[in-house]
Amino acid sequence: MTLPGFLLSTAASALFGATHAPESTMPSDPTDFTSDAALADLEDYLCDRFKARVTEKGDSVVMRGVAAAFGVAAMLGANVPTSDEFLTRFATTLGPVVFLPTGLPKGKRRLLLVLHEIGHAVAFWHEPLFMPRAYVQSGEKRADYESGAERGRIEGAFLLFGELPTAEGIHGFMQHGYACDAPDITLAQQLLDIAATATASGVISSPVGLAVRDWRLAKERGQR
Amino acid sequence: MLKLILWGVANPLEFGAIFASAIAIVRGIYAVITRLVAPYPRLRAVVEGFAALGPDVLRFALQLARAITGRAIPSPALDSRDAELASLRAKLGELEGLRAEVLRLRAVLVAPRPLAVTLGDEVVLGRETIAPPDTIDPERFDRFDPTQTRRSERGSVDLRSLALLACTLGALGSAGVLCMGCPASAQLTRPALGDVDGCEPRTTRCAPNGRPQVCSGSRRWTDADQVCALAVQVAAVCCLTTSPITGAELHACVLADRCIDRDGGL
Repeated sequence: MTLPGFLLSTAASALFGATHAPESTMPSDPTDFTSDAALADLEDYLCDRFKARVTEKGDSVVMRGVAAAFGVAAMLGANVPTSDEFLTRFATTLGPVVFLPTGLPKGKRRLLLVLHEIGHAVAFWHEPLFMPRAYVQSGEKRADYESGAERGRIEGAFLLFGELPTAEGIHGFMQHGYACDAPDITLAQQLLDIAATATASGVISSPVGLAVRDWRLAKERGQR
Repeated sequence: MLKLILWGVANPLEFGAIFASAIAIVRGIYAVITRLVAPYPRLRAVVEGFAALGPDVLRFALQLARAITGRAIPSPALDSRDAELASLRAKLGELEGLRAEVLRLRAVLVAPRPLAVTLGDEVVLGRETIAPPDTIDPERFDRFDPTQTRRSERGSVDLRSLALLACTLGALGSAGVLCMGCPASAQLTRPALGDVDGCEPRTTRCAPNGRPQVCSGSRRWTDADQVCALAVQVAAVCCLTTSPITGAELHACVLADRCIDRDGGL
C-alpha cells in the first residue's frame, strides 16, 4: 500500500468506523423491530443496501449554501422554506447523501424521515444523470419523486408499526416547501392515496418498503 | 472508496484539509528523495514522473506566499525544475550584464561629434562618406529560377505542408461529424416528461398491463404502482376501489374482494 493510500485509508477508517459499524455481533431479539437499537440497525441496513449515507446538516458548507439560496428564493416569493427552516426542520438529500436536521435523536421519527429520504437516494442511483435535473426542472416530476419516496415511508411505517397515514396527512402532503403548482400537488396526493390504499391491502412495492420487509425477515431468522 | 467519496461530499472542508495535509507530507518526503537521487538523472526523472501525478501542494503554498508578499521567496528546490530555474536565472543575470555593456559601447560609438564649420555655407559632417549602392539590374528579377527555394519568403507556402494541413483539418472535421451522429445517453437527452396523452386530469385507470395510473395536470398518464400481478406478498389486482384513508374512488392494487363491482379488475 502506498503512503497516500495508507494515510487516506487510516483517515477514512477513523472517520467512518463509528458510523455504520454494527454495535454488537450478538444476534438481537428477533421480535424487536421498533426499539431505538433496532431502528438504528435498520438505518444501517438501508444505507448499505442502497449505497447511501446519512449525516446531520450541522455546519455543512454545502447545506449552508443551499440554505442561503433557499432564503433568497423565499424572499422573492417562492414556495420554499426559509434558511432557518431549511436547516432545522427539513431533511435534504443530495445524490446519495442524506442530511438530517441537527440534533434529531435516534428513534421512530428519525427512521421515518430516513425511509423517505433514502427513497430519493434510490431514485438518484436509478438515473443519476437524469433524476437531479428532472427534479429541479419539472414540478410534475418533483411530485412523482416525492410521492415515490413517501411511499417508502408509508410502507415502512406499516410494516414496522402497523400504521397508515391519515387523510389529513395525505391532503397536506407537498402543500408547502416544494415550489409546486396546485395540479402537481394534487397529483402527488393522488399517488399517495393510491399507495396507501395498496399498502392497506398488504401490497409492498417500493424499493425501500421491500428492503424493510427483507430486513424484518432477516431479523426474524436471527440473521441480524 | 464509495464511502470515502460519500463522506467527502458530506464534509468537503474536512476532506479537503485531510487530503491537502496528506499530500503535503508526501511532498515533503518526495523533496528529500529527489535530493538523494539528484546525481542520477534517469532515476530522478522516474521519481519526478511519479510525483507529477499528484497535486503539488507545497508549490501552491510557495506561489501563494509569493503572491501575498510580492517578494521572490526562494524555492526550497524540490526537484530538477527548481535547479533549472536557478541556472536560468544566473544566465539571465549574465545576459543582463552583457546587454548593459553593449549599450554602453554603442553610446560611446554613436555619440555626436562636434560639427566642423568652415567659412561660407560648407558644412562637413564628422563622419566618413558612405558609398552609394550598386544599381539594380532589371533582368535579374524577371528571370524565374525553379531551383531557388522560397521557404524563407513571407507569404509563400509549401505545397506538401498545405496538403498535410488540408488532410488534418478534413480528418478532424469528419471525426466531429461522426461524433455528432453518435447516440448520446438517453439520460441526458430525454425530456423530463413523456408525450401528452390527452387524458382528463385527476382521473385514474388501470393501464392495459394492469398497472394503476393517474392523469396529471399536464394530461399525461403517470404510473402509480407496479403491475399489480407482480406483487409477491398478496394476490393483488388492479381495479377501482375506495381508499380506506380518504374515501376517494381510485384505481389501485388491492385484494380482489376490495374492488368495486362495476369495475372488473386486471
